[in-house]
Amino acid sequence: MKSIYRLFILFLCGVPMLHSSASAEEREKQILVCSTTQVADFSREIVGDLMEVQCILGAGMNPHGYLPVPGDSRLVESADLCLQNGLHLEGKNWMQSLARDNGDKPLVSCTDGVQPLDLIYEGQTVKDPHAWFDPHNAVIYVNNIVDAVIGIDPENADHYRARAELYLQQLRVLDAWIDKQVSRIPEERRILVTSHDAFNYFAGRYGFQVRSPIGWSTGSEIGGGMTPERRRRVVESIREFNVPAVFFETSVSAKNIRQIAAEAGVKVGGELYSDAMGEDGTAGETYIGMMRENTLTICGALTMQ
Amino acid sequence: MARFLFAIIVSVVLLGTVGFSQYALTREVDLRLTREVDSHDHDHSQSNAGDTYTLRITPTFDVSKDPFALRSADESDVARIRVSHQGEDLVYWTKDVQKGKTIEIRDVRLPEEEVELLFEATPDPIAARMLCALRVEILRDGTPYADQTLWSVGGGAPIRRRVDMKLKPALRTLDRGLSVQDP
Repeated sequence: MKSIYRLFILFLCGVPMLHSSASAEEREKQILVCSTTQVADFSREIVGDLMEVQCILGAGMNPHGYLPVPGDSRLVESADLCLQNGLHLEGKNWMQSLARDNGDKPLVSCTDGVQPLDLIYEGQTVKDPHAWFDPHNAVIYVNNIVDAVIGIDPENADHYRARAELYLQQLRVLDAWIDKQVSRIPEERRILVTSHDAFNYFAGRYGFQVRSPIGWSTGSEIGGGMTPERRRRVVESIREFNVPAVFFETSVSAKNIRQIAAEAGVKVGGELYSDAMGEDGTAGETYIGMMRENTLTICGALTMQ
Repeated sequence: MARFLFAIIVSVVLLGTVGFSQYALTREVDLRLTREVDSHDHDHSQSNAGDTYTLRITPTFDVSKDPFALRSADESDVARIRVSHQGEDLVYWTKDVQKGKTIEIRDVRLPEEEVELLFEATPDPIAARMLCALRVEILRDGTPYADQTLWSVGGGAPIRRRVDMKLKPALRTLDRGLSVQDP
């Protein structure tokens, strides 16, 4: 009877120990907090299940005009590392402020090392932050993230490098595939009219010209927002180059581009993923998926007779 | 009688020529063998590892750093052309190579057996869109031994091709009735 009693006591002591070791294991996972969906997707590809990746922006959300909520502060407070796009994509540097104000968390800008495109608006130069639209720049994002996660978890460096190498091969295939698809569009038809000026890197890589009524940002920064002059130029370009279709974006209101399409007498070619990826379960839920879907939408609309 | 004598003279001349040429041939091999043994006198184990070859590689494209490579600590250390055998690098070329320019790597040691060499090279992104080729020549003792052209698959992919070769032993090791003296 005594031995049964001892076993019972031991069992009672063991249960909380099991529980605490499980929660310790959970807690051992380091947390990455990313500002945008693209950065979060690259991070997930690299860390796999070894770290927890959280993202502040959700699918279809606009990083230019985002205003952080109290939940974001709590998220950043729990972070071991914060990752952002950089080049002022995060309007008024909201990610930088969050990282600084919530425990001064280490923050990495994934665009460090990207050769930024200069956009000139009314005589002022702005660095284009939408660098991920060129898969060659996506390689720089991945490399920056690899270095950053190895910095906080050097023991698993080989694991992160191996995952990144595989992902970079997928980016190579993506780049070659886009190139092949775009080659179906006659050169004179490669004009991309979109809601806002986000596709310059894509255009530069695959030989398009870009026209947008809204500048690089939807916000009130220099070169941001829509001016009557920009809108007029877009309509003129559509008519001048006989552009067959225009596109609206998932993260920007479709109102302006629909009005422009009606005014210029062209079709709306479809919706493009721009500043954010798609909802879970959609074709655009990953970076590769969003690039593929954009390419198919663009090629389909611009090759239509 | 004169015909008989003439036939004998012709036979002697023919047999003599054949005999002399055989002698000359075996004497040459003998000399080469002696020289080889001398040169490896101090490192016999290395001579068993195989022969040395010269690799000549000529790309039809500008070879540059792979834009889809994982960043290395020292970017100048990233291979542009790489030849490996069983996972070990035989050639690790870290400089850019212009198209049409031949790079020559001497004293590449390969075992005397079936070998599988992996050739890797990265065309610059524009060239990589089309088919690219890498001409590979393997020389032994200055004489071409194998010559192959390796093609890319296009579409931005780097060249990554395997070459299988059955390396026959060099003439000096053939049994031609000569006794090989161990040093």
